[in-house]
Formats: sequence, C-alpha cells, structure tokens
Amino acid sequence: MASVGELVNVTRRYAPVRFWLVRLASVATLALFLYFLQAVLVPALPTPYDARLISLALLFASLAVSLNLINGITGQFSIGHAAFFLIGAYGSARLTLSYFETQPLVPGIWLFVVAILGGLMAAVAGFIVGLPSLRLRGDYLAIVTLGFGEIARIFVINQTGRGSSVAGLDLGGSFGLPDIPLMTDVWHFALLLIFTVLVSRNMLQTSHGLAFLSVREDELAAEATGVNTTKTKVTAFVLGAALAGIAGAFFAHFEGFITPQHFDMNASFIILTMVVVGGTGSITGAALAGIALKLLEEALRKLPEISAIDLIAYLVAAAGLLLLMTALRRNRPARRSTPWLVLLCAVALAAGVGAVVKGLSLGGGVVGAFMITSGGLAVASVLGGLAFGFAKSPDDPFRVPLKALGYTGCIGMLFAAYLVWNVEASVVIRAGIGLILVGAAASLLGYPAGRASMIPFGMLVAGFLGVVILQPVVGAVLHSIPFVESNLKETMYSPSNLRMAVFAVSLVIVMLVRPQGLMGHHEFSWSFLGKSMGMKTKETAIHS
Amino acid sequence: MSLLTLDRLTIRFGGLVAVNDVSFSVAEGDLFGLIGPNGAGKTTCFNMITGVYRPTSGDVLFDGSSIVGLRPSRICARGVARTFQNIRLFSALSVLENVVIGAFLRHVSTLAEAIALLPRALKETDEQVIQAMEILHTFGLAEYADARAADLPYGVQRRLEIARALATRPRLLLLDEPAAGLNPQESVSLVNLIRRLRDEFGQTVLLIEHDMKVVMNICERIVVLDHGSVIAEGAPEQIRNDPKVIEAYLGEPV
Repeated sequence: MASVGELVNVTRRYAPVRFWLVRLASVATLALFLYFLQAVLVPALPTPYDARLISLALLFASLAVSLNLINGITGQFSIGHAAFFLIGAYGSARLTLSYFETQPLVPGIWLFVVAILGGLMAAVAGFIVGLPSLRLRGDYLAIVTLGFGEIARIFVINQTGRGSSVAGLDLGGSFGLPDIPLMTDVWHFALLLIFTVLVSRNMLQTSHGLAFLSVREDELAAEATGVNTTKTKVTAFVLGAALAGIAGAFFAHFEGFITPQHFDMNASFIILTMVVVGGTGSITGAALAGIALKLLEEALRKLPEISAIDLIAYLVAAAGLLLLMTALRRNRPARRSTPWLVLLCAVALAAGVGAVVKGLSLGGGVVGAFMITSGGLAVASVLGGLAFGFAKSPDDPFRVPLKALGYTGCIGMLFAAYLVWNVEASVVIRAGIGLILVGAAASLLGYPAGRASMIPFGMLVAGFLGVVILQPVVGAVLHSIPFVESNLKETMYSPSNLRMAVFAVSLVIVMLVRPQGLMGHHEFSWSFLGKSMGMKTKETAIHS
Repeated sequence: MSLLTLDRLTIRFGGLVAVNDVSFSVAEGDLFGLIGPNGAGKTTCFNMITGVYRPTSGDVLFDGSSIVGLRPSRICARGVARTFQNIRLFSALSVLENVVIGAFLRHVSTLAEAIALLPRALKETDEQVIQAMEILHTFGLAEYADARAADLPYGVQRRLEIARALATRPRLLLLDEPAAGLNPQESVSLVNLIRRLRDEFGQTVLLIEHDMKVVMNICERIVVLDHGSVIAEGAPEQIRNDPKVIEAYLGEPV
C-alpha cells in the first residue's frame, strides 16, 4: 500500500528533463526492437509462411486488445468488431487503389497515411455504433453490434461499382478487392500491437482509465459519482474502432487481396473468443490469447493422419483414466484414496517399463532416446519414491512416488519441447509450443507454488502414461471385434478436416478449467509473475 | 440562504403520482432528514434531485439555479453527491480506486494526455490518489485501500460509499438509508461520522433513514413524506409528537 508521503515523493518524477529523457529512451528502445525484429529475426525465419504466421498472430492480438477496450474495460458487449476491421481495410485499400499511383509519397509513408485514414473511418463508424450503447445494455447491445457487423459486410457485397451500388463506389462486391500493393511487414504488426496495448494500458495508469472501469462496474453509480457515462462509452467505441480500423488497413496492405469473407461473423466471434479466453478486461490476457489462439488455429492445419481404430482406442483409454482420476479426486481427503494411488503407481510403473522396451526396440533416434529416458525416469521415480515413501511415512507412502512422478513429468515436458522442435511444422508454432512446455516445466520446478502442486501434476503424468500404455491394449481389443475390424479397418482419420471442431473443443476445455479466462482480471507483469510464483512484491496503488 | 430548494416537485409514472407537490428547503450546514413509510417517494425525490428522473412538474433549485434536466454527472459536478439504498460500489475495483473515481470529476487533463502519459495527466492522477488516501484516512478505511470493494464487510462498504461520494467534494451530500443493515455499534459510529462531517467540514447532509434512533439523533430538521406528499416538517421533537406522523409512520409508542 502506498502511503501519502510516498506518493508526494512520486510526483517529483515528473521533473521535465528526467521525464523526457526517460520517454526518449523508451521510444528509442522500441525503435531498436522493431529494427531488430525486421532486420535480424524475420530474415532468419526459414519460410515466408513463418513470417505470415507471426504477422497474423500479432494482428489478431491487436484486434483482441482493441475489442477488450470496449468489451472488457468499458463493459459494452460488442460482437461486431470485424465491421471496424472491415471498414479500415476497405477504406484504406480503396484509397490506395485509386490514388497511390498518382501521388508522390513512398509506400512506407503512404501506408501510415491510409492506416490513419482507415482508422478515422472506422472511428466514425464506432461513434455511430456507440450511440445505441447509450440506451442498450448487455444482450440487447450485442444484437445491435451483431447487426451492424452484418450490415457492413453486406454493404460491401453490394458495392460492385455498378447497378445498385451507393455512389458508384467500387469495393469489388463479393469477389473482393484484388491487387492491393503489398506494403505491410512484420514490424508494422508488432508496432500495431504495442501501440494498441499502450493505449489501453496507459489509460489505466491514470484516473481516466478508472472512469472507463467504473462504467463497466456500475453505470448508475459512475454517473452519480460525476463520470459522464455517455462520453465514456462513446469514447471507448471510437477508440476501439479506430484501432481495429488501423489493423484493417495494415491487413489489406499485407494480404493484397481482401474479400467480405475475411470479415464475416466468424472473424468477430474469434476476436471475441480471444478476449474472453484471455480474461475479460485483461489487456495482456487478450494479447496472449490472441497470439495463442491464432497459432493454435494454424497449428491444427497440419495434424498427422491416424487410423480410426487407434483414435477410438486413445479416446477410450483417456476416458477410462479420466473416470479413474475423477474418482481419485473425489476421495482425496480420505485414506480410501490409497487403492487408487496403488493402481496409478502400478500403471505408471508398467508404462515406464513399456516405454523403455519400446524405446529399445526403436533403436537410435530422438524418439527412442526420449522413450528410454522418460520410461527409465518413470520407473526410477515410482520405485525410488515408493522406497523413500515407505521409509518416511508408512501411512500414506504413495504421495512420495506421485511427487517424484511429477518431477519426472517436468523433465518429460522439457524432452517433449525438444521433440516438438524436431517436428515438421512452422518454426513459429514449434517455438510457441516449445516455449509453453519449457515455461510450464520451469514454473513447476522453479517456484514454491509450482512445487506444491507436484502431487496433482504427478497424477496427471501418471494419467498420460496410463493412456499411452492402455491405448495398444484397447486397440488390440477393438481389432479383435469382427464388426469394428471389418468396418473401420481401412478408415483413416485426419483431424485437420475438423480443425475448427478441435479448436472449439480446446476452447471449451480452457473455459471449463479456468472460467474467468487465462488471466482473469489480472495483468501479466513482473509483479504479477512474482506474485503467482509466491514471491512478495510491492503493491501498486493504481489499477495495474 | 437555502442550498437546496424543492419547489412543488411532482413526478408521475403513468397513472401513479409517486411524488406530489413536494416543497422544502435545505440550508447550508443543515443535517436534514427525509423520512416516511416505504413507497412514500423518498428515494424518488433523491432520484429527481440527482437527475436520475426528470420531474413531471416543479423545480429543483441548487444554490439558486435550477438543476432540472441536467445529467447526473453534471449535477454531481455542481456539488450534489449521493449514496444508494442498495450499495452500489465498483465492486471489482479496489477501495482506493473507488474513491479516486470520486476525485476524478475535477480532472483538467484530457484523455489524449492520459494515453500519451504526459506529466500533467500523471501528476493529476497522483494528486487524486493523495486526496483519496486522505479521505480513506478520515474514514478509517486506509487499511483496506488495496482490497477489492466487493470483499469488504457490509458496514465498511457503506462507509466506503460515503467516502466515494465525499471525494467529489460535494456541497450537499445525499445519503439514502446509510444505516440500513448496520449493527447497533456500526450505527453509532455512523452517527458520529456524519456529525463529524458537519462539525469539522461544514458538510450539508440530506438523509433518508428508517432507523429512528439515527434520525432523531442527528437530524436537526425533518420532513415526513407519505404517499408522495409532505405531511409534516419540523424539528425532531415536533415530528415525534405529530399525530399525523404517528398515524402514518411512527405508530403509537408502546
């Protein structure tokens, strides 16, 4: 808690020379970072597809953050965000197609000019959509914004430049606008995301941001406390729309070809999903969820084919173990859980032995080495843990092997990260999944709060091992059933065909596990990181 | 000279006349009570004074000029702050942030300055935080500064709501049933707090209350409403013995 005296001292920070030097330094750092990104990192990427992935991830993260300003911070439920994105994209693209050839500006500057103009057009639309928010709340406002999103898209479909087009404006109709000169690079999207985050974040550093939050919390009370809620709500819509419009302009000059399908309801819903999954109101949550979901969506394009019987076997094994884990959880406080723990440990042991045997049969190679090592570790941890557990506490000796298994699982995650790195996929996706695995392992191993959750994590690892070892058994049983064998023998299943279903299922799981979203109401910051790891940090006075 | 004057204030909701021809004035420095049975129109009066409802006829004069038709935030800026019958805090925000929002209305920096994090916006926020901390100290809420408003005990939430209203530096404070749901000790400390506000800071207070101990203890003038009309006005002793008030509201002493 900040004391008054402390805060009085704080005001001295704004001595002009020091203030502007610090500001200059941060802008220089930003410029340096963008230069490094564009001149060093991007050329090092193996394929253009990787650069595209990064760009799209950053783009959608910025869209999510700009929607978060309306939805999360000001609490105005808007589900037509793609419309502002569309207006920015079509507005800037039309300007470029009509005037770029005949004007003197170089592409690098022209892009910023049309981006700002696109942002302004979207801002005007945001103002118009913001007006109903003065009277409507919640679901009613949602329907109005949804309708606006559709109107914008259908308007574009009708603008073919002929017939019923308004003012003869040619937006390409349903075929879209082709041949937009490409001007946007990865660093533009990085700058866009940083700018979008800064708008929300800086606002919340001051009491102006609190005014927006107060509208979300209680409109009547906010108005009675002197906050002009009308102005605040419309401002939120205008700002969010303008940022989405700038994103649209960058997108149009990145893709080179835009059609109304880019901006349909799906796009709106994906952006909304990113906000909700990230934790409504959390800026960094929206940004992280935006990046993660876009990459997940792309990663699911390249899933390997699997035979239908194998897949069913996996599902059955997983479902069986899930039931077992549920039973285990329910019994946790009682000693009665011991038989289940015996079973889990037995499964883990068997899986460990199985993994070693399989690894040996594979001979050399990364996968074989991984199976031998992790299997050996599992066996060693269960046996060693059991021995140690019996020596230490004869009452409940199975806690120790589960904990040991948890540690093994962490090491396994590091191995898995290494394996992922060798998988045939985009470097961006491999790096992303690898980072998540390494980060999860590090946070489990490295911090008190993580180590405290080793027993549930050990159960999880045992569960995974159980699925691996049960799957061939279930598969063999399924193969021996004539009906299944004759009908499904040849059927191959490619999960990529159903990637949106897989995507949706993973969202369902995320929301079930963490209903408040990844970040909840929190922001990702160094102090948050410290706090979540159980370290004591200084509290900040203003919302952060 | 009176700070607030209600001049033949009337509001109709469809066929229902919720407040009918109500007139009274609150002078600067008054501790003024508004009582009456449930449904008498007390909160409706508050809502008309603070601009939530627009009266069908009549006028509300604040400091000599009409405030009818202004939006609630403007009226608050003129110097009328209020609390609510059912507590309305910004529940997900911290105690300090709740009060800072009260102080926000005097801001001079623009949103653009805030987004650019220019010194004026930052300094202003720091000043508002300091003002808010001072109020929290006055209200004995400083220890809760970083707690979420929704996590506070009920009595503390009531105090916080008053603190937030005072952060707007009102000339007139409207309290809608401040003692509702408080235990006897909390009521007593509330009475002391309201007294202190008047005696130390010269705060004018208009309050609605059902707890007669609180009303008779602090109010110097009382208006009684029944079915939307004023049935009595005067000092507490007069009100206590007024036969019309006894019949409509207080009941026979047992």
